[in-house]
Amino acid sequence: MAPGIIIALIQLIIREAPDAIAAIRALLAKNNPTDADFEAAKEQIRKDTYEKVVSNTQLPPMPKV
Amino acid sequence: MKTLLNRFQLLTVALWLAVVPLGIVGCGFGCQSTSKTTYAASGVTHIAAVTALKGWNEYLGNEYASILAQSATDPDKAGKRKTALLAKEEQVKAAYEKYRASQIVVLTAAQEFGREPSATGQDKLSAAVAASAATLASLLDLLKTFGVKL
Repeated sequence: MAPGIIIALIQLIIREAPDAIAAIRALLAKNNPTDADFEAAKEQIRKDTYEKVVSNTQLPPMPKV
Repeated sequence: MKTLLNRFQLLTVALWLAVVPLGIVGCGFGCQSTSKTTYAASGVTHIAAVTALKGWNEYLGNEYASILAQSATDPDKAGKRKTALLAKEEQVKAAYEKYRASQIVVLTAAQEFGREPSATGQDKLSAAVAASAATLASLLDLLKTFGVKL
């Protein structure tokens, strides 16, 4: 059941956000994600900070440590 | 607090909940399969979360522009609106950071489980996925509360 649900949900995402199609296809094409794939996925999440995604933010920038 | 999840929220939370049973059932489907599904589901969920945040970004752009226009005629009111909006931004940012941290935990748990399947690793992955689904639902609910159309 679970894989069927995932496919249906992905189809819904594709309808809602057409730009995501290529990224989703790449994810699903990955047969056996390696450690490098997992590390790359984590790195992407780390890079997608609030400030990067929300360019219209007017929150003061975080002080660099 | 009862919340009404719209289609976007339902699909993202359901996506996560669809992954949890794979962890609970165990390695019947293959531990590599569980890791692979979690990896894919995590990626898709992150795309969904970033898409939702882009909706917030658009909302902010409109609101700040409106506040700027109002500041010419009613600076006091504009100032109060800006303060309130900044407070909302802090809440959204905090919710997004919680979600991001939870995703890292999920991926790490999936990675470890794929390397060395165990009942403990399976429980850890299931718990991580459930926790991440909760942080994502909170983020989406917050955005909806603030008037972002998802």
